[in-house]
Amino acid sequence: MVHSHTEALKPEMSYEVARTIHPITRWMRLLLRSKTGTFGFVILVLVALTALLSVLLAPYDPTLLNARNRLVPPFWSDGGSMAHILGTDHLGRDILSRIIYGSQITLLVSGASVIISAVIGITLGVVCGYYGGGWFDAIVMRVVDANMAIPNILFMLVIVGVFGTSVPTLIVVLGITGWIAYTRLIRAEVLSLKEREFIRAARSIGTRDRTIMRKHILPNLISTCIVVSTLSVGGNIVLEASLSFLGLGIQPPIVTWGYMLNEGRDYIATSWWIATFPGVAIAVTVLGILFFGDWLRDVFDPKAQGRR
Amino acid sequence: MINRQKVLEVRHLQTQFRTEHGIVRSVDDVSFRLDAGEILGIVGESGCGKSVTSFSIMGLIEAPGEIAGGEIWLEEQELTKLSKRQLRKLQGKDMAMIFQEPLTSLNPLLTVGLQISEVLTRHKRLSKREVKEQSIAMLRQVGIPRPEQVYHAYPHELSGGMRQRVMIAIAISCGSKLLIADEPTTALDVTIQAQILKLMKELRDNLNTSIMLITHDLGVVAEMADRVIVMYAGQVVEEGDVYEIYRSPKHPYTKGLMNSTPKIEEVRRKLESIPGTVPVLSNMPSGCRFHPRCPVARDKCRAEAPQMKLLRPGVQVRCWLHQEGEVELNEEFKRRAAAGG
Repeated sequence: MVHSHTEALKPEMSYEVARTIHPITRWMRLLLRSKTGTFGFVILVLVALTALLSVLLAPYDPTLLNARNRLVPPFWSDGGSMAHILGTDHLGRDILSRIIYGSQITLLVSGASVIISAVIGITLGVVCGYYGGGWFDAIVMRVVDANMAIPNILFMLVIVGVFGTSVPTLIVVLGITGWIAYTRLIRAEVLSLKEREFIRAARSIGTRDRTIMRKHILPNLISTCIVVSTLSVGGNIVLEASLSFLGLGIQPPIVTWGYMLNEGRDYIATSWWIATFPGVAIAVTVLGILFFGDWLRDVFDPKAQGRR
Repeated sequence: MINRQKVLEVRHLQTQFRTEHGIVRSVDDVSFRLDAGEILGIVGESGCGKSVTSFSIMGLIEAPGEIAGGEIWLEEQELTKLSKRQLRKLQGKDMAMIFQEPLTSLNPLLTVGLQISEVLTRHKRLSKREVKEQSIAMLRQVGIPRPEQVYHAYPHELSGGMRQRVMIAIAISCGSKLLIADEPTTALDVTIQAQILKLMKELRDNLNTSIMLITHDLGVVAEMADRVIVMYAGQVVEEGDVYEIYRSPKHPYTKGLMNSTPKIEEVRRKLESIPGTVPVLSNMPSGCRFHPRCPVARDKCRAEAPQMKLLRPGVQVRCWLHQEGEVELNEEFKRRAAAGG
């Protein structure tokens, strides 16, 4: 047996600390250490709960018309009442209830579409980067280039125009236009990553290409993936809103925040609350997601552990 | 050495890269053998083809590079004929490699334990528990204190020397008979360097591992190697016993290398250096590749490339000086100086 040289090689740190506490406790501690992370997390939980418990939380049916209560301002304004905390729109529908119900579709569409684009984009990006310069890479990158030449919103308008507007169509449309962002970034990252010595070291012990991609390359892309994903969730909420705003989004009676913005536009001079509150909901949700994503990225970088 | 069993034999290896400036041959006609339990030192300046030779053996040459000719025999198998798939079965099991930068040759996002387990699960049929036990045993064998804790540590939590130990543990964990060490101590400080070298020597003594030690540090070679190969511009220019090479270098290049290394027992006024630089591979000088920098170059050296000449069993040199029998290099240098002055 080989002798150990313990005298010279005493590592100063101990590894037990992080491993004895329950993972959930550890995560919560990490989260509480970051103010913006906590803020983002709270927002996300609130929005998610709102979406899940819409039926219980909403004081009214979001599609209930009430001609006598049209354009009621929020409760603190003159003429407002606690019956409609955030007021009513031009058809007398309760804005708060509509925002609560709108969170469902907003979260569903942005979340599901990001998952679709992440799966397509990351897979293509890793394969293109790893076999960089090959025929597959060349084809995919040309598709990416071609896609960059067309504004996304135009592309979406065409698809929505052809296939009609429904929740699944919208998810797929947002999904298949969103992968470009992933592929370009991930490919660039993989190109530099595969030249790193540990990839060569992994190859020198006979690791298969796909194992290298899965075990060595993918984990090193987590921070990039999180950043792109959180940006895209935010971006997709806004895109969905834009499509709805243009009247090509999800159609009534389903409520979305973007559609509410669109409706409120005509009354913005006289009844500001119709467009403002869904706008605030969009802004706060996107901000929350970005903050949470930022925190996640830090947590997944083991080298940053000491710094937090 | 009692055991003279051949582990690795490289015959006329040629490795080239296709570049914009045409084909560049980084390794040109390199041959050597490595016996069981032997440490072979490969010395040369940067860019002389040392690393490309080792990557060729390990099957790590990728497009635009390729092995253009020659044979690599690992025990009974010819590696250049194997498919990628077949090679992968050997990589890590029958041949293993450690790299220059222990900092970057471990994946920063995976624990040490996961990275050792990877090679074990790849090449051996073991249960999860056995893999963990063996991984910890390997860490202990390379002299890592508290291996159970290091198993859960991330690479950045370890010092450079510890990381290189982990690399060695990974390399030997499947019982590889051949260990290629590509400048294993260059990135480490001197005390740690000595420990790592000692560890490698112990591996050789205890496990009869053959080690191909690539370095530009002549001190390390003198300390470690049984035999030495000197490479210059993609070719082997001299091969011999370590004592022989240090006592009486045959090739002017080897002599130049020796003279540019400080020796502790010798008070010298000035450290010599070899004039000029290593030739660009795409623009090789005619004749002997060393002649533009050689102090004893003759017309013949400029015109015609010398072949490897066997002076005595185990001692070979690629130089016109020794073509008609061995010449004392110091005498030749003096004679040249006298004739010139």
